[in-house]
Amino acid sequence: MYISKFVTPEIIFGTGSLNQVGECCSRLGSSRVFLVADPGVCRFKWVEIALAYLEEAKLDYRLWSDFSANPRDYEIEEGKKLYNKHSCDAVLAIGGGSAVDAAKAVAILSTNKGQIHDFEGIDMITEPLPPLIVVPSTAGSGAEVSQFAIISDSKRKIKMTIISKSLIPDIAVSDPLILSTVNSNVTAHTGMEALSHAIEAYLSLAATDMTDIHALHAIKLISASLRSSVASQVDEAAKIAMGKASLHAGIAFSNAVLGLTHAMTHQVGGLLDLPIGTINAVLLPYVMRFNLIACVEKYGCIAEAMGAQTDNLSTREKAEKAITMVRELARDVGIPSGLSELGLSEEPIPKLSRNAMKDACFITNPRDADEEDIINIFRAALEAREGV
Amino acid sequence: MVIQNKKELIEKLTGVHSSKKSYYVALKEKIDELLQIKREWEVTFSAVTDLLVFINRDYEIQRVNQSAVDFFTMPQNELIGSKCYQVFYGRQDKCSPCLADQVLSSQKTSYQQSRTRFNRVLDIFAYPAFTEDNEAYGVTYYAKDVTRLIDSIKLASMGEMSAGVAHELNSPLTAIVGNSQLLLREASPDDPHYQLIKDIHTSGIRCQRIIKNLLTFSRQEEFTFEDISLNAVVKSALELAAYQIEKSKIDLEVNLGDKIPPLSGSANGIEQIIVNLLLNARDAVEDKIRNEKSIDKGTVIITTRMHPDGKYAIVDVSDTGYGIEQEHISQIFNPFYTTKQSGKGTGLGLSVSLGIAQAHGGFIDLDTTPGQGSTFSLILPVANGKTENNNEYKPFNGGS
Repeated sequence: MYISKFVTPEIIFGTGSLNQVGECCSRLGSSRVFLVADPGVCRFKWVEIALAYLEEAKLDYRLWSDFSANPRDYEIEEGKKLYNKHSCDAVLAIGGGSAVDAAKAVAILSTNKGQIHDFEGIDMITEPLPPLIVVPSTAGSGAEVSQFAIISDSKRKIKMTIISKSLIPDIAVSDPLILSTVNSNVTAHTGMEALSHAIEAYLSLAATDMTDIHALHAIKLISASLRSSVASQVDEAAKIAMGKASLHAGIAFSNAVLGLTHAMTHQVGGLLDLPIGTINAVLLPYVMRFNLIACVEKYGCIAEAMGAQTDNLSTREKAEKAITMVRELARDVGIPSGLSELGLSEEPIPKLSRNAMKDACFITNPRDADEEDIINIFRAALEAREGV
Repeated sequence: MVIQNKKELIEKLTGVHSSKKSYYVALKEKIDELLQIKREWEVTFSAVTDLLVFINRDYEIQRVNQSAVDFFTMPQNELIGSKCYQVFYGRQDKCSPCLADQVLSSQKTSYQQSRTRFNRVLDIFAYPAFTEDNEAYGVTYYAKDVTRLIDSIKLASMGEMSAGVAHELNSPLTAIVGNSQLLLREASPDDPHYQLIKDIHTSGIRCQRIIKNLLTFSRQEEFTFEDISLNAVVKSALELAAYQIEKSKIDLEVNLGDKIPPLSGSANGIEQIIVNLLLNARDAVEDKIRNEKSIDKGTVIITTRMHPDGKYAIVDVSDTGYGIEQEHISQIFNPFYTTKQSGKGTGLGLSVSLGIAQAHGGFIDLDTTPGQGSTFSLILPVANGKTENNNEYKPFNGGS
């Protein structure tokens, strides 16, 4: 039995809840807001709407959206300069995981001395961050509730994971209306990302009853609604369900951490500039296959949460169902079945495997693994071999 | 061992021993730091014995130091928010010209000397206070009370001047008094000029008394001490003053106490004090009668008595005049301070009287009720108690 801890931000959820942002910022004592927005979100006028709410609350602001889909260290440095130049006193992020990660990283540098590399790892932040308010535009990253930020190191070509309770936003405002503006491809890979968060958090060595409840509920919501959400951008019920699922998955993984899937994904992500969700979704069933013997019963619960018919099945058969269900869902929403389809080759696999063992997410993986095991999983995923 | 390491690693990862870094801690440290700075400044400002007053653009006082609170005898919370012209000068409207306006428009330091409430003279230095955008948003006054300095300069020159004038006047006066005396001796009371000559003589005597006062004041004349009877001195003073009082149709009541032991002192000096007090009492009553066109005559009462401790003899002179306003009380013993119309008083009477009383080891005490009258008490140690003066009897107001 580990000593555990459970932390969440203040969460505001609901259709139209974007109108809360101005009040949220001023409630936290801000007078000049640093607004970090995805270029994509800017296109859909959500930023304009948010700015109107800031003006209504008589707040000054500075908009920043000059960062990549996987934010780089030097971009963060520029963001920090802009933040300081305009004497901002709060950070508001509107966007997907990248915008939130960029916002968190700028927040770190605005009060802590040093470069973003100095904060890589666990609990390296020493000074309090300015108020952080997050409005997610995709249902998946969970960054609106998590204690993680991932930033690309442009020299080492890897993704740095920053873990700190200080990165948990003060307020998460989740408005399902915003989720309806991303295209079906984004809906699919972010939805699968949320599923991988929920499953890995549920299987994590650091999982607790509190995280399990959120993880299982997220799995259930995603299994029921991701297909219809991908199918139609105007299916409001599906958007609401996916918005909730993202929050629950985020709460679960922020507190229980993840596992080998993410440890491996982070390595591939540093190499190929692809959405994390897609890589995750491809790797998830292969890692689940490897991890199965560590928690057979929990796999059964995942299968049930995903709506599998499990009557008269043995525990082992039920567990097997979980993997099948995940594969089916991924296939239905258009996720490739192997890594070679994403452009990965055989050559970097040993190095990727070695680095995956150093990733923080590897610590909580339910089954011990060595480099050889990880290489095997990579190879299976590369060739899309279903059994390991 | 491996298990233990894993356990520690997971606890670290899930942040069991870490929390979101709180602004509360940083804020608390900042607040403590600011409070410390605030305290240090307060100590610094209250150590300044001169007045420090900060006003905003609307002439409203924003901050004051302890010396300013003491000077204006107003609690700090009443001072703050009050207009500077009201607090400094008791005015209802802005001064013209206004020192603050001058500083705000020129954005330069300025200085002025002015007589403020309580008849105090202040050297006021005014400094503009700027915002970060270099805009003057208020004025800091640094004011020094120079009343004593100004008055002592005035006194010194007045003293020198009056001594000179007195000497110059003494010779012609001797001729006037002496010659009129001679004429009076030779003239018959029936002579139609007799009353005229007598007036010349009395007026000459009065002039000599004024000159003597001036000399006393400027030289702090030495007195010849002898054993005297207080009642006898009072009677002699009444001979001079009773007529003046009764002539003004004011009732005079005399209560001379018995068992008053002899005092060691100057009969002339003490007589002068009593005459002064009596004439002041008369002026006070007369003033009231004239203003109120009252048909009541008003009363002056002179009483002699012993202090219950047996060490002091007291002469009380009471009047039924207007009494003295609180703001004047601290001033009335100052030389040249007078509330009488010009020509009526020199402002020397009480200060000279107090000087003489102090030379006798005594005091002048005052009990006054505005609107109803005052009682001045001359308190003198009796001969056998002379060695233990000052510390025993604390006067209500020792003057200055």
